[in-house]
Amino acid sequence: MSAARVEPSWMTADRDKAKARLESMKWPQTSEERWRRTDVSRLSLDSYTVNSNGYSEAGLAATPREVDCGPHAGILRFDAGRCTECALNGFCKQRGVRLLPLSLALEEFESPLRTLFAERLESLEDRFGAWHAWTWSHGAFLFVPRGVEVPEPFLLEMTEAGSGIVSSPHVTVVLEEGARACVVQRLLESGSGSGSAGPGLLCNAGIDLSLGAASGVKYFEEQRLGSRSLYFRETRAHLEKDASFAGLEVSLGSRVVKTDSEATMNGRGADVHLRGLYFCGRDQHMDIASVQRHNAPSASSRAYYKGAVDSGGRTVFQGLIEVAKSASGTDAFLTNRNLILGDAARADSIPTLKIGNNDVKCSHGSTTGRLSDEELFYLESRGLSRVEAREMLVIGYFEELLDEAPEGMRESSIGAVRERLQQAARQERAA
Amino acid sequence: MPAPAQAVDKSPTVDIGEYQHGFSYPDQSVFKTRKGLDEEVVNAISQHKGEPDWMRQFRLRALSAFRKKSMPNWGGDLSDLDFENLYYYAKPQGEQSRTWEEVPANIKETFDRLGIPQAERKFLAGVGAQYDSEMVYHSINADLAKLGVIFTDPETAVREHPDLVRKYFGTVIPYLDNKFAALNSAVWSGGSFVYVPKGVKVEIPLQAYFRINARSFGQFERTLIIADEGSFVHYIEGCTAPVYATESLHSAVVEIIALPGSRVRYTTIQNWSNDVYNLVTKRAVAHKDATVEWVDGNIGSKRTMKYPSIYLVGEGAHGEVLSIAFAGKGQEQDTGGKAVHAASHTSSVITAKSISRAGGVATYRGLLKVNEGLHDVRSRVVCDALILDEKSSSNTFPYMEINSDDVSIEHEARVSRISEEQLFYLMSRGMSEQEASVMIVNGFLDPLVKQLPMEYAVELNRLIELEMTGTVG
Repeated sequence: MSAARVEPSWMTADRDKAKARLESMKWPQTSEERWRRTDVSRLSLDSYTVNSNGYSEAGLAATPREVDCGPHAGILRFDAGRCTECALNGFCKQRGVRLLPLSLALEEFESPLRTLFAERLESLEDRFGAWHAWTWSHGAFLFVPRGVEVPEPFLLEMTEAGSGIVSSPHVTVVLEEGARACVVQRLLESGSGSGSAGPGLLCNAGIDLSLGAASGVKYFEEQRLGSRSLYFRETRAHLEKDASFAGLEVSLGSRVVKTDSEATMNGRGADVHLRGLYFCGRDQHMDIASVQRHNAPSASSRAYYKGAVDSGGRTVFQGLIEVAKSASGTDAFLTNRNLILGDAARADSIPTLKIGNNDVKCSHGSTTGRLSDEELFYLESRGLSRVEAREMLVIGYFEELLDEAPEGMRESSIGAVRERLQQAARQERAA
Repeated sequence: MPAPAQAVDKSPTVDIGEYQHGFSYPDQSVFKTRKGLDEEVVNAISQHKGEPDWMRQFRLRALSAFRKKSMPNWGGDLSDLDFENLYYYAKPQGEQSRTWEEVPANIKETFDRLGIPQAERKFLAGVGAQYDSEMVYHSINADLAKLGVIFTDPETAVREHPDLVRKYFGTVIPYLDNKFAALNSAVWSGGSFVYVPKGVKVEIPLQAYFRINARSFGQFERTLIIADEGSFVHYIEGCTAPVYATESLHSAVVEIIALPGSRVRYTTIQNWSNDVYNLVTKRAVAHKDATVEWVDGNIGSKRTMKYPSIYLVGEGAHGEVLSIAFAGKGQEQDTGGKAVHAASHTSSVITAKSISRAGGVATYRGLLKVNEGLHDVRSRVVCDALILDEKSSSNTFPYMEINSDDVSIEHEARVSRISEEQLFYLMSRGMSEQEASVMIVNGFLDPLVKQLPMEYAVELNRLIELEMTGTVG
């Protein structure tokens, strides 16, 4: 596929290496711990085709339409892999902030991108990673120069389309020393929910965050793909000294979700907040992983993941705090909470610690339970129906995670949860 | 006639160093299979024990399962374990003795050093002492026998209580369960068989001491405890082994059946010498209103992988696991507990405390599972780890699989070191850093040590003091 692109030769070489790695690997087996609870053998992965239906560089020939920024610092919109709309406000333009399709950034930002892609290649965890590195199809690149603090959020909106194909979006964020930014990434699917036949889309995404000393990023990801899609995603954040990363992933769509968010603290005093919200309904399977990797002293990290699983759904949370020998003065905490909303729902919680240094404060906690009868009864005694009371409690349960989310994302995520609860109630009534 | 020249040397033959139970006497086994494992060896074991055909068939089926099962791809590194370089069975001289006087002299001397006679004089109900893989000494308190309590070795049980054995043997841990359970099922030898009849409460703990005493010799004891309705029993197993240069394998299987309304407590302090692989499967089934408690201390061995489990299959059942692990130099303690809730109105508590020092690795690995369609299930899993120096590490892998909605599941884990404030406080009171560290570690373990019978608590404290020598928090 590289032949059709006007890609720099290093990228082509990296893709070739990734392809060779892919060919030497098998699809993950349930005998591997990370994949033990997500069996991909029944997903007919080999039947999905790569790079068809508009997922090609051809779309880039047409310049994306420049649109108004609105409340955002910048916008990139993709439709079926083509970048259709872009925007960047005056503040950013004046200060050298860049937001552009990733494929157009390969030459200008060769140095950071080459390093990041090489790191991915060196530490491929499985065939999905190799597949992504080989076939990444579209994506966004954000660069914030030294000392620039961008107050408004950047919006990356990717509307995927198609069935039986693979889409591999990739986002790279590079913050120089002292830079600050907030990113909202929304992943949507057009023409979904139409009940049309076909296996749906396979989205195999990657996110790289390179955070220079004392820089800070807030990254909000909202995944609302259609109900037949498969979603795989690997996020890797690398933090230098005193850098901070606050992430929130909201998983709502897709029939199978497998995400992995890893924050690696390479610099002293780095600070990580990983948060996740997952709502898993009937026929959904969500396997969410987080890694807080402490490689440097005096860094702190928090992970807080909250899920709700309705009848017929299955969630897995696998969290890891990993402390290297060199990481003295580590302060790390990991919490997972699960709300079980119905029978025949399954929630697995695996918060793990690997601690190689004794000067640490590490802990984790996990609770799993259901909605409290007392609270339901109270709300019903105030005239709410059972469905309304449930909805109110579930949204209340999730709300704290969205406290810091920019306007718009908050509403859309809560709205989506509400919609899913109502849909489930309708299905239950019908049944 | 001149005595055979120093063939029976009465003095310990190995340098015991720090290890207080590290002594051994020349190997005087009268029957020993060759190294390695195949049908012939299994048949030889079975034949030597004079077993009925059903047990021989069971062993052979287990052997074929052992060959098919793969090694675990998680947990400790077992790559230097060579199954072909081990003896799977050795029978010591002398037949099983009923009284202390009949025990062969050099074996007795070994036990003397372990303090068994003293313990017996105090309050032991029955002593099943295992030298090599055979019960050599067994006494049953007459009162217990009168109550109908059976406390014997499994070989005797196969002969004398075949109905009980056939009904329960291998039902809690089938030989297909895992590679090491399959291995044990094929070559098991020695262990304990306990049956407590309906309503009988055994007031004093039943104890058995196990020892390994042959070079490269694996010990595969098999313990089956059946507590009939409304009964109570506390079983204590303690392990010590002489120091050897070649790796030894200890792979036991312990099955407990707690019938309705019964309570079983099983206490182990494992202190194998630091060249032993300790790969043990322990599992209990708790029926309606039954309670099972595992108290599991792991101090010794090179690598231990052991996760005492409780299957709560009847309403009202309750399970508890208390786990203590101490990982010192060159040691990997991969321990924990499992509770599987298969009935409504059940509860479980798993409490784990671990200490790692001098490069040791302490890993908590546990499972909490709630099956589908249950109500009122409560569980709490708490893990505390203390890392004493910068060379050591600690891992926590608590797996929780929840398939019902009417549950309350809590889990907490903490990893920390000895705090400078605590040390400073104690040292300001005139303690050395060493004394202060020992005191803090003892305090850390105290909630669990309290659960042990007195002499075990004393021994554990002594062992920890010994292990802590030269430690600086």
